[in-house]
Amino acid sequence: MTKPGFVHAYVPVGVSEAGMSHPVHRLETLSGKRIGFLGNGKPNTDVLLETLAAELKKQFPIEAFHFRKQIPSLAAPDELIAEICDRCDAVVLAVGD
Amino acid sequence: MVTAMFADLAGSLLKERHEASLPVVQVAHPVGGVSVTEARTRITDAVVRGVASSLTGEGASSSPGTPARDGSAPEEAGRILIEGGEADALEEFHQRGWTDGLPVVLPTEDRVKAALRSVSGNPLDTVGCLLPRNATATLLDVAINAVMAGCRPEFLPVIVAAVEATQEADFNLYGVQTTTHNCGILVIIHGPISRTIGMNSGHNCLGNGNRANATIGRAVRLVLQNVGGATPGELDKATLGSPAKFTYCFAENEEKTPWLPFRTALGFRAEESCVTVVAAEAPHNINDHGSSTAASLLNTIAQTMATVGNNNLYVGGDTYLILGPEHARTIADGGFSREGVQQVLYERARVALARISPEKLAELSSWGGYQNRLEEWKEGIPLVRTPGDIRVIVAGGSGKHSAWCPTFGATRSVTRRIHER
Repeated sequence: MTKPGFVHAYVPVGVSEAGMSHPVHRLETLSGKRIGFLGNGKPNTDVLLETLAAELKKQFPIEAFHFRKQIPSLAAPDELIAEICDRCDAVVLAVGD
Repeated sequence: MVTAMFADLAGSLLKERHEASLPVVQVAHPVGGVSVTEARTRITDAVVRGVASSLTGEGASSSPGTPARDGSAPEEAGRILIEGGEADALEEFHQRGWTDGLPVVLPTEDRVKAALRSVSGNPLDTVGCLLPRNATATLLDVAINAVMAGCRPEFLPVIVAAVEATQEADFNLYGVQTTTHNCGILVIIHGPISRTIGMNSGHNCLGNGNRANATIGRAVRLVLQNVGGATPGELDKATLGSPAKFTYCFAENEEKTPWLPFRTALGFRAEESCVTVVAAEAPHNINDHGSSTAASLLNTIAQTMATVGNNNLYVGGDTYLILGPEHARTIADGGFSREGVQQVLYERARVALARISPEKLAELSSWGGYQNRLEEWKEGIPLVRTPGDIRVIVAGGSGKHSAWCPTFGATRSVTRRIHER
């Protein structure tokens, strides 16, 4: 299909699966909630999350649980994600670098 | 929670993974490489408030979600009409970020159809779902990028197999595509097809001058960039990158291999052609014109590989030694099999603990129980975790040079059969 004065070409980017976002489930309150903190294992990520958890605990009656990936460049294993889901009401991820 | 330099990456990833409404809280960059005291200062009152309100949704905007970038059918969304001539169209491709910075061949219908005739299957058959963009790459998409790279039609089966190979979980495409590490995608071709399509497995095979070597590697990069979404500086967060990210491809020199060809050693049949993908750094040359025995030469190779600062030492994974034919012959004449080479290099390519900083060792202690093995490794940390992780392949022409290609580490190379039409 040609049109005078125009060039027709294919677009090289394929089709993204990205669509409408999933809704985010929020907590009604932080009071009494179990909050997980998962670092990616890069240096000082643990410091970041421990400091954050301590500050949050000063302001809210939360219970903190800390988790860590073994290798920063690999996704968290399913077992770890399942454990977090089982033990926590919400999770804060930290990606340090 | 991310450092400011990676907030755009986090936002893009969440969008591509249907989680765009998950909140992202920024902290000052960097977090690594600073004192514990300074790292603590990253948690400001604003960060604490931001995390707390994110958890409860307080103050959050009600986003209706993000529309798909190219959500309509490929037949509709997959073409572009550009006013002017081919030069204008190519300029448009540059402007849209669809090139690697070098001129490309415009993917017109005739050219793409010609490429597709070299593979079996429907143009809309899925080759893979490419991360981080989570986008479907069809045969058509791979053909489009192959044309852009300058490939001849008969190169397409190789590129399709290479893209399929990146789908293996152990390859860790997500990490490879988004890392700050400088890895490119090394594409190695084995077997009859390398001769059929005129690949260079001899002199300068990792360099310039051969169309198949140059454009197959480039095509794989373009697919991963354009379909996979590894746009430099956006989702591809390489600190420095590497020339190997333009193209990185060669053929195994089977005629000069003193052992079984690479693919048959892995269990493939001799009549099968294969492709291997490796998330590797650019090659590091190993020059030894003096050593005349296998032992001496292997010592040179081991000492070259025993460096601090490479990801294999830190993480593991597999690593690639490309032996020049003359080096390979010297080693084989010394009575070494491929497995013998792997064993010797595993034992000798070690890094003394004193060569690694205490801070780095402390960091490594959290990576896969690394520090727990320091007693075992007191004579030196091995480059990789098993002898078999040192992959040995022969390529190149005359001369006393070999090359070592360290990898991303959190990855394993994948070898796949190439299906020719």
